[in-house]
Amino acid sequence: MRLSRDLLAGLLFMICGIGAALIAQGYTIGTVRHMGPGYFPIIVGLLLALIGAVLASRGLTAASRLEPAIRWDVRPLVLITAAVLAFALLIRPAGMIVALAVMLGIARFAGRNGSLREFLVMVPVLVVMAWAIFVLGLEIPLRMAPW
Amino acid sequence: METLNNVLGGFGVALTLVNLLYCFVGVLLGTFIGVLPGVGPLVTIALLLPLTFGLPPDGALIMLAGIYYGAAYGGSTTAILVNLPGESAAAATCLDGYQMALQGRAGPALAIAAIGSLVAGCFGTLLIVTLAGPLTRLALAFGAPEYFSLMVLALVAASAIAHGSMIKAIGATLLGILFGMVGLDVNSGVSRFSFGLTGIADGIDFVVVAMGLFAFTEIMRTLAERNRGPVTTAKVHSLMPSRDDLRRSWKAILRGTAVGAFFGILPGAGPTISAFSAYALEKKLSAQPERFGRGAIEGVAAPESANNAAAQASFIPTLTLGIPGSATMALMLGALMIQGITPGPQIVTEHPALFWGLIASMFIGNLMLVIINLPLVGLWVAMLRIPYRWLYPIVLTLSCVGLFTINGSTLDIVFAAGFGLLGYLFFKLGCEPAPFILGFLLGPLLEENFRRATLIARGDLAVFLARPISLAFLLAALGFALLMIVPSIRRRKEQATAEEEA
Repeated sequence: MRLSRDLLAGLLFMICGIGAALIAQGYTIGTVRHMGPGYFPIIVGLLLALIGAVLASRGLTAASRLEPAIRWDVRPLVLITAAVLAFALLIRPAGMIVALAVMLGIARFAGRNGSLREFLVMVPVLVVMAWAIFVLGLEIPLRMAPW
Repeated sequence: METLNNVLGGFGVALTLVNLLYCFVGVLLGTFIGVLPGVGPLVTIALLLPLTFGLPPDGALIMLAGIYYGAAYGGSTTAILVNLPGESAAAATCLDGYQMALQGRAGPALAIAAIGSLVAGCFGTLLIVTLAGPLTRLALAFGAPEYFSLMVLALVAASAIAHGSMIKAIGATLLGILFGMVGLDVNSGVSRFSFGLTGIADGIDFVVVAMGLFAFTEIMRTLAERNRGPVTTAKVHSLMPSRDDLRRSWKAILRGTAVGAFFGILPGAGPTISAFSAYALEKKLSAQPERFGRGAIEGVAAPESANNAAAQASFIPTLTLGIPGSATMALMLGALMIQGITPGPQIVTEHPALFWGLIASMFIGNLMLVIINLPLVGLWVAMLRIPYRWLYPIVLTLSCVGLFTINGSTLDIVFAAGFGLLGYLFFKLGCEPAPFILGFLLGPLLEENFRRATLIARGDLAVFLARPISLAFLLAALGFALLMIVPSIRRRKEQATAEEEA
């Protein structure tokens, strides 16, 4: 069975909606007059699940199955996410210079036609830029170096 | 009279050296990113949000606003000269603008675009001035039920008009509302949906969502796109439009401005829809529609005026009612919230210097744009040659470091990466991210007003229908939703969005 966009979107919504409603059920619901923290989330979650169901059923129709397959461009997706996560992991223990260098190093492979020389110029330029804007300009204390 | 006093006071704020500088930086930066394909006002404003922490509120807002309407100018320059719209609203200008450039008439096209934009921008600003007083007075008379219904209307309208299927957009909105509920519930003190993570115990930061959804997703999308064709630039000779040009354009400018103002105020519609609608209208009203697409100057004047008018007008519901009609406006509100200013009609009364200063700066900014743009045309075209592989590292650097500086929390960065993935998922599934962020922003307010309304009405849910204004809003929301289901209108909308993407 072809996974059409509508079907996937519908499933996503259904999962999130039902999930939210289930979690919210653990909070006090209260009455209409005295709404507890769980009241609104349950309503929204159920509405979302309903929309998801409608969408998913639309996704099962013949017309949806005739859509071209979704092309997932995995390389930029994975590399950019990895680059950002690397930054998050490194900024505290290793300081900004290392974190930026590693992040840019990973992100470099997400693009095309970049020469190594360009990259070696880019990293210090961007590190200086970040330092100038945030540390110098906005006076935010940021650890630059790992020592 | 009072309005005049306010406006003059606003100029007092806007004409200080510092704020003039912010205005200048804003419009210059805006034009720059309007020219650059791959980086738009949305990404830029998201990137600058962490920086606005350190800036004074009026300066920050003046600059962000300048970026927004400045980008409209920049986009048109490249649309005319190189057939590459720097931002989507300029795509309508490409149709006739580039043709004119090929005929050696790039100069008059640019000039008319600038003149039209100036007229429209000033009109839009004037509109804000006239509507500010009455709208805020009206809004201050709103009670919780009216607010709730108004927000429902805004969210439904935004979903209805957004690209793609309305149902998906509504789903995205609801999902956004759920994410907006993560964190502390003000009424009960319960921390909802936080799964024990202290980093989000008091909610997901707005900037985290904005950065992920608009900066990271955008990079992923752009990197995945196929290469564009070679960039051929048309030569610019004289800039003076002929008398014939002016004669043909002035009505197009006025009509375009009207269309833009209308769509700008509407939540969900924005500069892009305005530009295309104005173009279509002009073509329909023309005595010689076959000239369109072949270098008709009205085909430049109308969309250019429309997109500027829409950019200005979209500030109206945002500033006076506190209801953003688009993702960019949601970011503007986010910037206000960062400064500790609660958006809503009370902005006009509690922060008059900020409000009127911002409006005065819009007049100044529009003037600056005309002065900056025409001489610097050659520079902007040269900018087009900057390859994207230099741009996206800059965006990544600014966003990651920026995110870290908000709370010193690496969890924020991780969440932003997550939102980047979500945004990409949305894109592939045909969902618009704008309804999500509108839901995220308005969700807590929606709940708050719903709660208050039912509390005051002692549990009677009919209160939303019993009060006339609230009923009117809800009926309008229903109207929008039904309208989109009607096949003929749906087809028109699909046509319009298809034209934009072509």
